[in-house]
Amino acid sequence: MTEKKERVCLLQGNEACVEGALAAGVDLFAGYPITPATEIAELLSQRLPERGGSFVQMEDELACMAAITGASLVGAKAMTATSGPGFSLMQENLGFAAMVEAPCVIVLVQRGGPSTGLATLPAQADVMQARWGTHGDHPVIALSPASVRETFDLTIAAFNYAEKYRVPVILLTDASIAHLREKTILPAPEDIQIVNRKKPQVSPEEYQPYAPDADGVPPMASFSEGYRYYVTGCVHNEKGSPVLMDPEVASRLLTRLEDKIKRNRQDIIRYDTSHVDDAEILVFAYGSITRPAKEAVLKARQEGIKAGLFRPITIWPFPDEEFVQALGQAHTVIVPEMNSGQYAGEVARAVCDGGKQARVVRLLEMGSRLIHSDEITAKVREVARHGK
Amino acid sequence: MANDLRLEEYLREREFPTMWCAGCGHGVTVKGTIRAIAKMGWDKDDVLAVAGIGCSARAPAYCDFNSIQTTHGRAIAFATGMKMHRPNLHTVLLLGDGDCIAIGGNHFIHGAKRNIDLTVVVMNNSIYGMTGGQISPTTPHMCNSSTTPFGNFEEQINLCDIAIAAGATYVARTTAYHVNQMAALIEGGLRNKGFSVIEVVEPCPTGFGRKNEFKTPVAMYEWLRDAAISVDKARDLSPQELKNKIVTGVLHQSSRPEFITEYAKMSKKAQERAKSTGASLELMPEEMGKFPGYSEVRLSGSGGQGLVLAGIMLSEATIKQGKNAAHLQSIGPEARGGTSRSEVIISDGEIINPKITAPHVLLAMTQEAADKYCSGVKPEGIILLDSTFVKEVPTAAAKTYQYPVTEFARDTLGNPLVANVLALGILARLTGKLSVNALEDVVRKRVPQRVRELNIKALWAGYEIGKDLVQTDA
Repeated sequence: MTEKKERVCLLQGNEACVEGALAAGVDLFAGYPITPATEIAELLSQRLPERGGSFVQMEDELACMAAITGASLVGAKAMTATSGPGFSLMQENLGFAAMVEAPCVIVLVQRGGPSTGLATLPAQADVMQARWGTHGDHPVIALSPASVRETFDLTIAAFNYAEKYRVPVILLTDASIAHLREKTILPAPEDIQIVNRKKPQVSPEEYQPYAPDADGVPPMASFSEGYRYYVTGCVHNEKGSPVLMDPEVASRLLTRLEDKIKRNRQDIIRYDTSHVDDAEILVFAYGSITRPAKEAVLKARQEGIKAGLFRPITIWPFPDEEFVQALGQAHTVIVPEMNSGQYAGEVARAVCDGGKQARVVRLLEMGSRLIHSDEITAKVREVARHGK
Repeated sequence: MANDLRLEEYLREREFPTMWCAGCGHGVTVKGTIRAIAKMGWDKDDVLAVAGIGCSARAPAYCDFNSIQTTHGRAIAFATGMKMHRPNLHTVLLLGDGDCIAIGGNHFIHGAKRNIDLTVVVMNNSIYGMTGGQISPTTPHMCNSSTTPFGNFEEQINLCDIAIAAGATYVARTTAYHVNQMAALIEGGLRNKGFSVIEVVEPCPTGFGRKNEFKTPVAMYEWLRDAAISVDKARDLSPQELKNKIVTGVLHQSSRPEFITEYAKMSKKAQERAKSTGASLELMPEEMGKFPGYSEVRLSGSGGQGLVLAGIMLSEATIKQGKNAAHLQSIGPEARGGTSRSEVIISDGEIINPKITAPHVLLAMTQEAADKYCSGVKPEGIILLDSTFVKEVPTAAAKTYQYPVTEFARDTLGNPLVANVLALGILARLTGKLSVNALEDVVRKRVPQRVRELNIKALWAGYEIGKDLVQTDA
């Protein structure tokens, strides 16, 4: 027996998400049944009441997002979980949460779309919905795990970022990671770092609910703690009062919302690389496709092809600088993804913005089949054969 | 009671002037709500005022409570999350008619269904005022609006009837003219421990009155005064006589378990019963080292045969044997039937890409599964076919065993549902690598108590069957 209470278990992706949420201190979960995310609701319907937390199955996903945002404003760490169709319904109140800076976590287990699509099969079709699904401009943080253990870690990270920066954070998984089970060693609770939202240091009379600290984030008083203020989805000033006809106030608010993420990007951007130092061909993969991509890169290396892997863990904001640095002198980027090239477009933009010349090759899967490592290897070989 | 009220103590005057038109009923209803709250003697810190979108939505801004304007129609859903986390907050919703019963109708119904302790004051002015006077669900028949140039041919909705039908425990109606009754009825709602609805019929001189022959705001208040009839008097009137009347008073009051209270009871029980979850999978040193470096196992059949659970147990048993394991499941949308595939990868090292290429072991429990997967098994591998269902044996390079697994489970063990564990027992022996002791340990943990012993019996029965199969083969 080890001194610290690490736990060895066989865990499913969705189960790891639940364990992560509990470790992060989730207080309330509002959900609505949807494949392939339902296990998260089922498990929390037991685990939350068992520890005095709140679980509620709402009437639809609009209500789920509303309930967690409301709970967040009264001090809860709150979460919901859904798939593409439900996420579409959440957009309205996701925008509200971003506007009123309510920390919350949305787990989005992607499945084949559009519409009802393929309920039980994986896809990466909501990458852009996660970024631009709501009306208007607002920042978002989205994290994409590639393993069960990482689902655990990133669920905790999602709560921590939400609390630290007062933003909705999206955990972007998919049916294949969600339903995959892996031998997982969960860390001892004392080894897990937890972040809680900062509270006001001033009296209720002096408190301005939307006056930021130097980091761009306003301290957050929860309702019921003696700080009575007004929360609105309208453009508002530092006091929280709606100001509807003043471009200065609107611009100041919306710029700050973007800036609080931009200026803290070093803390937010997570990524992983392998074999990039001398890579001529860079495979750019995320989420579940990371696994076959890694296998393909190893195989290409065995064949003497200078291939490398860049994997964004933070999907939004896009890791521009880190990617461009990893790109180095590579002449081609291969982007395998299970959609019509949603993220590849962003990769091409980053290549261009970074002043690079690399070609972006798309390897796309629209039928919800997991992209096989052999397909990626074949593409790497083909590119290697043709050179630049 | 109004004489004692120091209204200014409850108002957030820095937000004044209000955005409401002269003659609007919203200010009247806000005052009625404040009077009721003052009567309750609640601390302002303990009061939560929630609104949606529309003219009504600005109401919480003018009140010095914990105030929030949410999105259109969703106020009840926001309040549900808030109230769950902070049950001590006295929560009052100030909703418009469209906000409450058009776009918010589903949340309204479910709030009433849950009988959650929220007090919903519906400021019903029969129109969408902020957007310029379009019909709402409560616009009376043949009234004019900016989207019914030929008159409103739809019948109006009765939101109080809906609230009652959906399970609200306090439902009342009044008008913006009847200010004392309004305060008293809202107070009744605040006192009710459950979902309370107070509909206040209000004038909208700008959006409704002008288009419907109310020349002045005063004319609208006179209409409210004259159309109102108490619920007692209304009882003796026919539907025809009640046409165009506004029935006021407490329409419904009942007693029913309240959501937050019931949740707390359930949670308390759950906390008492809570078991520590997730014991670590301890290694069984005496069972280690039996597997080669890397193996793939495919369990296939149809939904309901317990193959996913079998795959999980197999994975956990190998972890106890010191291996790394990954489990993949592929199931169709059907809850029962359809095809089902449960696959296990067993490895000494990191499983870089959890994908089955050519399994070393295959279990097929339907003909379809056998036809589909037998040929893909590695030549040096092992196939077990459940001959209860697999009548035609597909050609395969791998060593193939047949046994009526489900039939034995059903007829000899008395329950076809243990076929999955029986098959694991057989596979343990056929492969010679999977520890049956480790499996027993896992089955004990995973299977519910009422069928635990039966499953363990099935596991060991399978192991014996496996012995026979190997001997017969030899």
